[in-house]
Amino acid sequence: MNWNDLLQWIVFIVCAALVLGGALGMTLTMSMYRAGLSLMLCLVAMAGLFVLLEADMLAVIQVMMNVGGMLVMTLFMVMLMQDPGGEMMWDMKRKMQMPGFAALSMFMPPKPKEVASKNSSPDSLNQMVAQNGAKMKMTQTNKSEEMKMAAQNQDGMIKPSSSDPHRRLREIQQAMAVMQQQLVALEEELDQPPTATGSGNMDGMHHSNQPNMSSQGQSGSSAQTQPTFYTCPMHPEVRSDKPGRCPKCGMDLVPVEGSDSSSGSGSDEHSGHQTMSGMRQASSSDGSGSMAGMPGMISGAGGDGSMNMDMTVASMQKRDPKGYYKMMEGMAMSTGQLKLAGIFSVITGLVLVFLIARVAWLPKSPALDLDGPTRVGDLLLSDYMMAFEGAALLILAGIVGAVVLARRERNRPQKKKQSRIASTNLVAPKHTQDNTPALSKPYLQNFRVVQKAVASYKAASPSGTTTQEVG
Amino acid sequence: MTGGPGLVAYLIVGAIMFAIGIFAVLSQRGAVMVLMGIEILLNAAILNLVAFWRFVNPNDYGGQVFVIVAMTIGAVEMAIGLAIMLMVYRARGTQNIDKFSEMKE
Repeated sequence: MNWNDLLQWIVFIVCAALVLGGALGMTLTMSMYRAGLSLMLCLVAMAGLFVLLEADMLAVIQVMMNVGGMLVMTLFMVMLMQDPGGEMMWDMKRKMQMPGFAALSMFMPPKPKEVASKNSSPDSLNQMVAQNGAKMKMTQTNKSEEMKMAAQNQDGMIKPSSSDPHRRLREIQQAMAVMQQQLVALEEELDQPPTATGSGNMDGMHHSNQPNMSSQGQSGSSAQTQPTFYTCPMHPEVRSDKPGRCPKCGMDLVPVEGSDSSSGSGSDEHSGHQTMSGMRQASSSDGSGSMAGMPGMISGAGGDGSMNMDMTVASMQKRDPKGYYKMMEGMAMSTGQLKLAGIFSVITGLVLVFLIARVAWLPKSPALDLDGPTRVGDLLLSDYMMAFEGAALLILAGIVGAVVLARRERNRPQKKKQSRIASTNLVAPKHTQDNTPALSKPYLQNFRVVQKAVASYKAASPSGTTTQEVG
Repeated sequence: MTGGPGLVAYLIVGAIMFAIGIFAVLSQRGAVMVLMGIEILLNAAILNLVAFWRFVNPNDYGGQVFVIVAMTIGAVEMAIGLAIMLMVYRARGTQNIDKFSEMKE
């Protein structure tokens, strides 16, 4: 084996790894945007394999056609499909990094327990925490009901301005952040140590079935004596002793009690999980449960879903394959037949490899005409003329078809809108019956009021009198 | 095993890629993702074509012509697929293929 062959092997292995890695990444990632980029990587590496096979022109065509197409596709996905996974991934990371979210999970436990643990002394706190943990498991249904109530309360505070569930989720998160700030400020006013109750309670919630619960609780209660520092909600690395503004984004700094030591960071992460799972549950139970992109996520968050979510997120951090599979199962972009699909594809691959193993290991023939593109061009215009023309016609038909499809659908909503306007003007009562019954009556009344006003105005204007006299 | 990677090496890469493509098509819920899986399937087939051309009959460039036609068909399929997707998305407000099951009922 000389140097040339060795180099070929190296290039082959690198390209093959990129091809397979890109394909796998496209399948396994949670974000459509990343999937598009992975597919692009896969196809570029494929062009490398083509070069290795001495089909240079095909490599160029591959890059121009497929990779360009992939770019368009990625843009399509990002602009149109409201990338279901990307936002979720981004959210996870952000919440895990944010120390400010430690206090936020105080919203999640039901209120009576919070009050009870607030009144208790630090010594009996651990006991309370253990009891809370036990209760948590016992009264799972109770908890979810209370969640529902809490979510409704939030709904009252946040205006349900848009029907887009993603936007609503973001709104709820923003509102919760604001509420957290208010709560911390309130507790400072009351001169109460909020961390002891807050982190103790949430540690209990999270570690209800873990042995190191008591030590975590103690760290929470010992944090009482540590001084307050201030941090930016968006940039956790920004810390200062005094309240003020973040040098990076200009937001007001949020006070955080005592968890700047190494003992606090772990509980911060856990509380991040807890908070997120609680949020998912809250947002799923407040009626917007049919979140467009992530039904699997939401269905997993019903009932005892909060624990499940915790497990999956925690195990994803550890790169646990079983946990990763669980995450894939609940992931927005994969169907429920994930297991079947995996089995089927593995069987297909094995069968194909088995068949290939019987093929002779042909070495490359050294004699290869280097003027490939000319030969291909000659062939395209002589022997394969019909195929070439057919391909060209196909492309033309494809482009025309795509444009026609897109155009026709763009026109249809306008037509609908026009017809709706027409029907409201002419046969408004009939049309409103098709609408939701809750809306029809006030709508009808409004319509009649407007009709009356128009009629009175029309009656008034030719005679020259004011509308008031006629009315 | 002399002379660099042989035919079987390329065919195995193509086979694994085909399996991954099948997994993508079967397991993904979004229609765009299914289209991307189809793209992977197509590219696995194209890799096989190129490998066979190179190792079996490199002096007949008809193999490359075939690959060019296949790529063209792939591009057309992608364009039409995206246009249909766009249409369906505008009509339904979702690209989740689990929701497109009217024929079943």
